[in-house]
Amino acid sequence: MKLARGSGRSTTFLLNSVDRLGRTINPRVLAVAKEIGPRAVAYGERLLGDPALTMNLFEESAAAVSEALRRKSKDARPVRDLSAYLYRTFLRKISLARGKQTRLETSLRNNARTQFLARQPSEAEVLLLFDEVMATYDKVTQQIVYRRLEGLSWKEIAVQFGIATHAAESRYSRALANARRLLHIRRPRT
Amino acid sequence: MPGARSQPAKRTKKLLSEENVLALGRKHFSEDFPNPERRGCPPTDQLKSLAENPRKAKESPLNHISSCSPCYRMYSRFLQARKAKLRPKSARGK
Repeated sequence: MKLARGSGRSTTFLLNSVDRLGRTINPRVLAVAKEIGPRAVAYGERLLGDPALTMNLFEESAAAVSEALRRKSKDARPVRDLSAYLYRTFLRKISLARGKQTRLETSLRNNARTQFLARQPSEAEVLLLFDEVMATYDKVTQQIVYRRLEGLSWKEIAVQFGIATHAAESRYSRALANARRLLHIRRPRT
Repeated sequence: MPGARSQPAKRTKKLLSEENVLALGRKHFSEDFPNPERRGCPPTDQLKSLAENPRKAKESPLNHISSCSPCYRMYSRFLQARKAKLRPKSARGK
């Protein structure tokens, strides 16, 4: 993976040009990310307390902004302030991660603690798998997964999104397979 | 054969079936994030719209339901209502 050197004040700021999901960061976004990165990541780190997670979220934000930039260039809608856009995206991801951490901790502390610890390792992996998909995939894939959880058939899901049945099925399988690969989880029995 | 060593039993991890995976996922989202103070919850109509017009979905309520069980349960109810509405009467009894 290529590393770009940023201009951190006290330490060197290193940023990958590809996020952990393999999405490339646009050179324009990368330049802006290097500029605001040291301050943004330091702020995020204070809130989350985990440097690796914060850095991942920052790279994911840069990749998401790159994708948005690509979409907007097709619609001829320019992004006015790229650094503000990137910073907002990063803050949203930080806030989501914080909210999730807090709620899961509360849940573990309260009624769910014994149940959660009693779960089989494979069950805990499944929960991680769904969290990973919801945290990293696009809104169509997330909604397909929710509909699948709620027992909708592939045909019903496809009709709601105006896509082919196999396209819905393939989005779902791809997302779960990628998340499994990232988390080193094996496929379930069918 | 006499004297031959039997193969050691493979250590296999019991894997869950697809139905169990889905059931666990549903239980996770509907129970593991209690949010009793309902912090950051979007209005009900946004959740309804998320269930009814998935193509026009906004990012923020969608992100929220992945970490708020009360909102997930409400979203789930809207999805079930829509499912029941769209399913033909003949299929409902099955």
